[in-house]
Amino acid sequence: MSVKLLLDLNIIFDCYNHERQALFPESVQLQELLATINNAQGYISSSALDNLSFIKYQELKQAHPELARNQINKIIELFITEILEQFKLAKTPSYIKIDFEDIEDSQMLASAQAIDAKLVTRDKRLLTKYKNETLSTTDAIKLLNTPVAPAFVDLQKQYIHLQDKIEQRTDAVLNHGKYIMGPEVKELERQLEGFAGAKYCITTASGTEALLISLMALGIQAGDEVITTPFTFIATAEVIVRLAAKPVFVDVEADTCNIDVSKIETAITEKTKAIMPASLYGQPADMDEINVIAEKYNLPVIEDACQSFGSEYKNKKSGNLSTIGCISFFPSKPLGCYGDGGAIFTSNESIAQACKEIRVHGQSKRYVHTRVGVGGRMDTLQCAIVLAKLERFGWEVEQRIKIGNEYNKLMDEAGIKRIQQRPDRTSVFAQYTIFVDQRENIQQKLKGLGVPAAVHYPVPLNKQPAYENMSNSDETPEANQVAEKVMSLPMHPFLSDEKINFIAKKVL
Amino acid sequence: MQIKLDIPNKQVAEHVLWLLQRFEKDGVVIEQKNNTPEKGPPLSDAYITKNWKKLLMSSKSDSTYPKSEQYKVDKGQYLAEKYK
Repeated sequence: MSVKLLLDLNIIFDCYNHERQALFPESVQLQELLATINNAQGYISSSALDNLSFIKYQELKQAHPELARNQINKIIELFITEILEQFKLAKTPSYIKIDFEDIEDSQMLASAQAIDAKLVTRDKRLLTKYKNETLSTTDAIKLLNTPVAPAFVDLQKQYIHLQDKIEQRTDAVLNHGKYIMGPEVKELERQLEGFAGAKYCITTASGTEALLISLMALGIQAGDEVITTPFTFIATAEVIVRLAAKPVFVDVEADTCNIDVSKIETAITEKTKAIMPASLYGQPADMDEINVIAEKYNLPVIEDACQSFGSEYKNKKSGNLSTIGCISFFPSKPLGCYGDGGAIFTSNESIAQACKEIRVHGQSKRYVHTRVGVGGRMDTLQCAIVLAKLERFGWEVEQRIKIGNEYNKLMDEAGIKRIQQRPDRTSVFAQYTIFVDQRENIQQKLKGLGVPAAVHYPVPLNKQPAYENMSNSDETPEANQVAEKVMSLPMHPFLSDEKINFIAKKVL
Repeated sequence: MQIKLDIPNKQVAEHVLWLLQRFEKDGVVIEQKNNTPEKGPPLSDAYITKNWKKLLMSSKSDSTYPKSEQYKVDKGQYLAEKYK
């Protein structure tokens, strides 16, 4: 959790005057803490900029009559620029409750409310009248010095970093009003095509919907078999079953938990119509070898890249490694939206056309339904959010890789077994996963120490009640074993070295 | 009635202030006395770019000013000029 504080101008002015610094040292301490603490962010209200400028102008005019007007303006410009480097702006929302005793104060309170922050002030009237909305500098310093547990996935911190871009994108959608298939949908699809290097991108309502539409576009139907992994999220198998086809589970590798390519060929029958590997925990499966087998039997390959978008396999992007690649924008995914969303990649024109039609109820022209389809469009608003996030995605991927490697080093030093990374590919570490005995005990211990941990996934798909009659789980012993041992640790691009070390030490 | 006086000569300013103080017993209120410093030599733009923070930090800053009547008067004048 990040602490968000909106500063009243009296605090800012204290920091920009020698006499006031001496009179109000807590203001300076607060400013320094906000600049150094990883889990805190200082804001000022956008409505306060004018007063910040006006008051400093007056002071400079009084103190330095030798300064020309344009020179004072230059100083103000440099001052405001520095302020904006230190603090983020919080907009004044339309739902402001005007306090006619002091309208400026109500603007700041509304800005604080808009970002779910407390207003830090020395103003006694504000502190008395708005007890729940304000903090004194002393209390703000106490709050910043309180230790904070690491988040499993820190979407709040990500939002702080991207707030201006997200606000700009979502404001545009809310105002142009094209909520379904608006211009942001195509814009995102073109940008994703460029990012992944695929000819076509078709956004969908979710990652699950992307998988389903892909299977439908390939014509998978009742009685067909689709080879897949038993160790992933249920959606991978669920979409096969929804089409009355049969998932054929092929065991996984014990060290990567991805599908074991050496066992695929023996699972192929006359009924096999596709191979659907999942790139688990953010690392692509052995896609080249899978593609070779698929070509031999003339089968399409759908990469379930819902966890791995952003990673690379032999310098090609995950999602663009086979006939079709499907990704998810579930909020906790490396590239997530603020709801559900997904996308399909392909470089095959007829598959792309089929996916586009199936996504809109099988419609090839308005009210002409050439095929059976689904309501599978991604909302314009969610596309706008992904567009905003995409600008910083490259940096986030680099951070994830750096953090994953740091975790790897610490786990190896401690002799803790972990998911192995293959040298010819990268992982975006959608989860950072280790193997432990007595998992429940360790998880409880970590919980008590303020370290969240999760299990992805405790039961293989072919042992799930709804699926166990479709396959013999004895044939997937590695999946059975890893499901008992895997445990995921906090993982996100904002994890500091200090927190990684703290988490690793607690696991030991 | 409120009057704002801008007297560049320090000696004259002191005389006027002395005179006004004679009327305090009759209800005249002297709200604010700003001793404007002597105008120094002009500063170069390069000096300002390099030393802007020093100039800003050393300017007198009255923490009561933003809530004062004087602030309202100054801001009012500024806005009246801006939107005239």
